[in-house]
Amino acid sequence: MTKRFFGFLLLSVISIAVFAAGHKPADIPMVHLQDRTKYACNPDGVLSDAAIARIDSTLSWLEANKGIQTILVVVRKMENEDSFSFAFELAQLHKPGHKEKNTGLVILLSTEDRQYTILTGRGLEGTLPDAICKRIENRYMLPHLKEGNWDAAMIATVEAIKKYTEGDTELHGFTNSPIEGGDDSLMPMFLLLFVGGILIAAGYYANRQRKRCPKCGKHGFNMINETFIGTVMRNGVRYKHYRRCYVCKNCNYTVFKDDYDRDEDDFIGRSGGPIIFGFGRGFGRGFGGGSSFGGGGFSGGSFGGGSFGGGGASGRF
Amino acid sequence: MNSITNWIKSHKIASGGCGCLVVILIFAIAIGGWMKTSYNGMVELDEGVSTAWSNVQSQYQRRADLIPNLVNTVKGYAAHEKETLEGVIAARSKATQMTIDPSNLTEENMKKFQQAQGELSNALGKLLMVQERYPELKANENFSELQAQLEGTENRIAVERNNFNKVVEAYNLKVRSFPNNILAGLFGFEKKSKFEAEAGSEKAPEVKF
Repeated sequence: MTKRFFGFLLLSVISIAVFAAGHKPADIPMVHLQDRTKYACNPDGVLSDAAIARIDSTLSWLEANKGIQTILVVVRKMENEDSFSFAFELAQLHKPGHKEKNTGLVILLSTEDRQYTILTGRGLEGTLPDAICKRIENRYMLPHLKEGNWDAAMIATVEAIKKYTEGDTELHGFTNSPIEGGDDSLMPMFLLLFVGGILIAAGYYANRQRKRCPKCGKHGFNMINETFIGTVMRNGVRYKHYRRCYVCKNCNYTVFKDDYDRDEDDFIGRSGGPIIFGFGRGFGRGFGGGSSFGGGGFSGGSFGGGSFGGGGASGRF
Repeated sequence: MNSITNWIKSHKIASGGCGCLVVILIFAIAIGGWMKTSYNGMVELDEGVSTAWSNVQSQYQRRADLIPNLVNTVKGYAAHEKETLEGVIAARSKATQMTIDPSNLTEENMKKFQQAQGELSNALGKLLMVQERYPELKANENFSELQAQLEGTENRIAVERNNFNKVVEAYNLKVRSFPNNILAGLFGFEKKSKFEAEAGSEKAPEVKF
């Protein structure tokens, strides 16, 4: 209990400190990494939930259809008080955008520093040149910012970016090849193949051992028929009782065995059963229980590794 | 080869001259291998510096290319600011004449380059101050967008300069550390100069609006 209280106290002190001194780029929690449909980072709660939902849906469209991966950040205060360098550091840290096409975008607003930046990845400098970024800011963002309507300013900005990029037929989504692309994503796949290969080999070996004749030791001890005797309940679990006949094809050694199989409709096959079953369960624990990833590791997105050359436009209001 | 074996035999270094030869051979191969990787590593880093340098220069060139348009736009509203306009044009032509080959990145050349570009930055700063006296110019969308392009280019220059400095740092570290410095001296890989934020003439380019 006290531990929890001190944890809470520490968190509050940290958040108050951040609030007073302003954020660092590394402090900003990237919501996209937890949930691939989210893009708007709103650590100080400047934007309303409704605005965030609209922004996220537009930015989702941009990634799915144009391959543009965006980080949108709205904070009250930045520690370094310079929106361009803050946005650039964010871009360097997280590298949004396709690795080869460099279609990343960072949109930043700091309400108390009264600064904003649209930062374009190297691959977007043609679609969204600096002058167009400035135009979007002047026409769509600035009027709302002057009224202090942060929600409207950000919604209008992302809508305008969508409008400007819609016309570019060179840009398209990367749904078939995952956006993270590159060499990094191949490594887990190789690992998976490797582990899978070992498990399959182990399963095959176990199955072979099972077919070993107890009398002559050769591998030819096959089941020739099975008779269903009935179902049995043990400790509240339903088992199916089979009587199976095994014959060795080398020495004709014959054995009858009583097997009690767990009655499960979704149970996959008997051959190598325990091994495959164990494999499935292992996976369930390893991946599905990924609460350490912040709940549902599968739904989290990743950033592609796009590079930025400093294009875009900044301003003050 | 015979003379070596004779020498080994006459000095009785090893009872089996063959074993000694093998040791010498292994040493030669090891040293050759080290030389190859070390030399190739330096060539790679040297190429990296060349690329980074040409990126820096192309961004400075991009800035120079924007200037005629900017000057013309300002001229339309503020023809009286002749001195400032001429100052920019003069600084631009001086800066564009100053290009350095990547193989010639000495401290002296870098200083000259930085000075020329720094003068252009100062002149541009003065030109942009002009808008405060001409509200119509300030309100012009074309001018505002040109300014945005200029600012974006200044940012790009800053990014490329940083990148250049990082690459040069890696190169210098390799060239100057032992035992690579022996090979570097042998093949003429010299230390290269970085951008330095000097007081006055050329700070990190910064244009605020």
